Amino acid sequence: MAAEEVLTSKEVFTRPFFKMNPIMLQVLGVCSSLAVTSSMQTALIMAISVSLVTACSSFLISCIRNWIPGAVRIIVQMTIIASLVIVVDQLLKAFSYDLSKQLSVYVGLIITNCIVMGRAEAFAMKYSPKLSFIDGLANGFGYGMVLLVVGTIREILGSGTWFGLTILPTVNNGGWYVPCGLLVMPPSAFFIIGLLIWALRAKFPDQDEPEEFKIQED
Amino acid sequence: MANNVNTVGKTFAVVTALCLVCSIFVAGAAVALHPVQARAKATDMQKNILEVAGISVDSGSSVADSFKKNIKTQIIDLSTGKPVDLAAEKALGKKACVTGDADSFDFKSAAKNPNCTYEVKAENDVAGIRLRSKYMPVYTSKDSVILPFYGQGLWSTMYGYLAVAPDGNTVKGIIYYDQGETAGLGGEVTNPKWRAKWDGRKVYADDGTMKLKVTKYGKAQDKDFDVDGISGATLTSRGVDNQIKYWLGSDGYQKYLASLKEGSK
Repeated sequence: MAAEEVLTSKEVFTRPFFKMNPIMLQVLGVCSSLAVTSSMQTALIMAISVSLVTACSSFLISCIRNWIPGAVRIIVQMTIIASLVIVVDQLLKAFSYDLSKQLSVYVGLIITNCIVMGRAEAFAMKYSPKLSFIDGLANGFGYGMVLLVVGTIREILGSGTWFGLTILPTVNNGGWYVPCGLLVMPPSAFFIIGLLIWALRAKFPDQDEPEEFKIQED
Repeated sequence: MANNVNTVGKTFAVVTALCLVCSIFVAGAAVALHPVQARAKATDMQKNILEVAGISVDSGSSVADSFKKNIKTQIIDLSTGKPVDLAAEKALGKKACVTGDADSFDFKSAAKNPNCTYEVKAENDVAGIRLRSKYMPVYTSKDSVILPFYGQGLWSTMYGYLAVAPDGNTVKGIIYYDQGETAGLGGEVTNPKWRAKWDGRKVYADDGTMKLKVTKYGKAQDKDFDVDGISGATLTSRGVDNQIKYWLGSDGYQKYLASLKEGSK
């Protein structure tokens, strides 16, 4: 386990924001980031939920990593993640009923968020519980950061509000702003995430993947 | 150490232990949180009913108290339009549809209960309901009657309440408390501006035909019966129209509302 000494907690924590962002570099967790970013409130709750689940599942999986039989490790990880997700869902239903109605199935679908599984398999199986917890939390934050950026753009331009506060008074409410209907629909998040990835890779050119094909000139 | 866990016996032992721990954890959380969840759900329902009835919760008193003070819950048999006799219902024993008091009656779960279920005929089923409860709860306040209703929108089943004046004919308000329509388009059914368009609309013409309808955006002409749809949400508006058509029609609350009309004369 020589690799463990190479990483400091600080490094583990800061990596997922820009250097190894789960959405923008690894392109994981895109499905849910399309679905929950039409309003900031749902995006924030989703970001917190995913961070908690990733952190706790990475921690628990790391704690028992030496007892997990290789043949069933994915199922073991899945069981732990699923249990945590159900508990988060139950907590939301109990203490934030309105939001749990809005998030509906997407809380349950945290189970299928590749970031959670990805961190468990790629990191928590190899590193100590403390580092795994930080890694899980930071990856959740990295995911949440993208969600909030996308949510800000979509909610302000799509609905004229930010966290429900009126920023641009819309025509429906007697204002002047005609909302951009496209930004309300999930596919618009594709464009925004695409632009963010472009911006990030322009800043960090080492994130560019090598070209698989060379486009030939006629 | 990592090698010796890979035997068949150890694998089974680890998996069994893990499943046991996880199931206790999940079941524990579900059981412990159930009362809080039930309360949150009831509060949400009561809040929406009070809002559509136009009753504001007094500062200092809880939603539950205001609800108790202002709202009376009745269970109505939609086929006759008459209130269900709860004592007679209880006497049915195992065949009873309503087992608790009126406030605890849940029409969503009743729709699946064989004692309660009513199959909506395909030709009547404009709102995509299929199975509903034969009884529905109705909430009465001093100056309105609140009818729960639901049906298909564009993406989701939309659940709402419609408040009608005690004459059984004048709409006093509408609210959707659970819907998954597109935020900003169909989701505008929750916008107070749009909801205000319902105020004062009439449901039935003098000859008793149901005339209240939701039109396309900008096509509302009849001041008495037409509600303007939502711009950019034609299909959601159509869904709302279908829900209103079904629930205020002969298969829905029409008989009950007619009896109110008789009573108010």
